[in-house]
Amino acid sequence: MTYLDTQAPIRRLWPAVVAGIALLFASALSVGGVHVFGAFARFGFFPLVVLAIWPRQANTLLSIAFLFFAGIFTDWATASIIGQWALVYLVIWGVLRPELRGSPFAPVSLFLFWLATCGLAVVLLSVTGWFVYGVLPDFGSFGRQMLVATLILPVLGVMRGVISRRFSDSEDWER
Amino acid sequence: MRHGEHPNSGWTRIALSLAIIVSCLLISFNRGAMREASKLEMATQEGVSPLVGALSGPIRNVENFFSSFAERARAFEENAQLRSELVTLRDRQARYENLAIKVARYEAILGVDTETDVPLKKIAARAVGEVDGPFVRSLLLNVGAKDGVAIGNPVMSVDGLVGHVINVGPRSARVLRLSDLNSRIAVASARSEATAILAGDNSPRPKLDFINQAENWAEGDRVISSGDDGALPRGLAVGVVMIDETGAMRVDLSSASAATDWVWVSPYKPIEPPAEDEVTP
Repeated sequence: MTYLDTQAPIRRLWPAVVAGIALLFASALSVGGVHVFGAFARFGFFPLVVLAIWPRQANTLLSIAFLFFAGIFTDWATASIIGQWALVYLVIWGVLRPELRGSPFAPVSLFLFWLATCGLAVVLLSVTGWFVYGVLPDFGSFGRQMLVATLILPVLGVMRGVISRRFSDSEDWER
Repeated sequence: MRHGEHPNSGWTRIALSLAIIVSCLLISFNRGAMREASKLEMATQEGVSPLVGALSGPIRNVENFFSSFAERARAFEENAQLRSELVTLRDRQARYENLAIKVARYEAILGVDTETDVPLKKIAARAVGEVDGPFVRSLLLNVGAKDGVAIGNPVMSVDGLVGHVINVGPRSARVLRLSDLNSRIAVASARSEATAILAGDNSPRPKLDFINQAENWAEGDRVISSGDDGALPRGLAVGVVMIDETGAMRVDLSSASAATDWVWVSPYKPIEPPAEDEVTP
C-alpha cells in the first residue's frame, strides 16, 4: 500500500454521495439483528464495513459531512448517546483516510484494517459510554456485532467491486 | 465544494477536526442529562421502523426454519412430557375453578374489590428492531400513538414483562427493557409480598435494590410488578429470584429466555397524583 502526499487527484462528488447513502442505509439496518445460537447479534457494526470500503476518490469535505450526519442518524435510530457514532465514524475515517491511499487494499490488508477499525470503534464506544454512563460496556455484545459484520465484509466488498466495474468507467470507485 | 482539491488539504483537516470537536461536545451534553427523545429522533425512529420491519420478517423466517429442525428432533420426547403435564394441569384447573368460586363468594361477603388493574385490552406488536448494544437494551415496535400506545405502557411477551414504552411516534414506539441500565421498576415477591426495586445493569439478570424486609425474600421466589410506583400495574410476571456468586439477589427475567418477536402493549393508564390543593390566604 502506498500513500500519496504530493499528487492532487480529482475528488469526485458522486462516489461520496453513493458511499454516504450506503452509510445511512447501513446505519438504519444497524437497529436490526439476528438470533444466533441463542444470543442476539445486532447489525451494529455494518456501517463500519461501509467505512472500510469507502471510495478513495470521494470528495473529502462531502464525506466528512455524510459521516457526521450518518453518525447522528445512527445515534437517533439506536437511542444511543448523541454524538457517539458520529465520533466513531469521523475518527475511523480520519485514521483510514481512504483518499490518501495510492492503491486498493489487498484482501489481507483489508481484513487487517477491518480488525483495527473494529478495535478502534470498541475503544471509542467504551470510553464515551463510560464517560456518560459511568459503567463499562457489555464486551460480549461488541464481539457478536463484530462477528456478524466480519461475515458481511467480503460480501459487501465483492458487491462494491461488481457495482463499480459495471456502472463506472473510471477508477473513481477504487478501494 | 470544489473539484480537484488536494486530498491532504488544510480544509479537510479543519473540517474533520471541527466535526470531531462538535461530536465530543454533543457527547458531553449527554452526561448526567435526562434522556428525552427529540422530534428529529422520533422522525428517525418512524423512518427506520418500516425498513427494519421489512428486513426482520425474512430474517425471523430463516431463524424459525432452523429452530424448527431442532424442535422436530425432540418432538417425540416433548409430546410425552406434554401429555403428562396435561393430566396434572386438568386436576389443577378443577381445583382452580373451585377456588375461584370460593374467593368470589368471600369477596362478595366482605364487599372488597380485588379486580386486577391490568387492562384487558392488548395491542399486539412486532419487535422490528432489537437494540442489544453495549450500553442500551431496547426494542423498536411497529405500533405507535395511532394504535393507542402511550409513554409508560407496559410491554409483555408470552413469558412475562419485557419493559415499558419510553417514547412513541405515530407508528412506532421504543421500549426500555428491564435489563437496561436506566430501567427501575417496583417489584414484589409473589410469595411474601415483600417489595424491592428491580434495577437494570445491562446484564441479563438485573439486581434487586432497596430491598424491603430482606428476610422475606428467598431464592426461587416468583417476582411480580408491585404497582407501588403507580407506573405499572400490579401482578405482571417479571422473573424468579436467584442469588449470584457475590451473595446479591438478582432476578432471572422470564422474558430473557427467548427471542423477542411478537409482544403486546397494555394500554395501562398510570395512577395520576392528586391535584395540589389551592392554598387560600
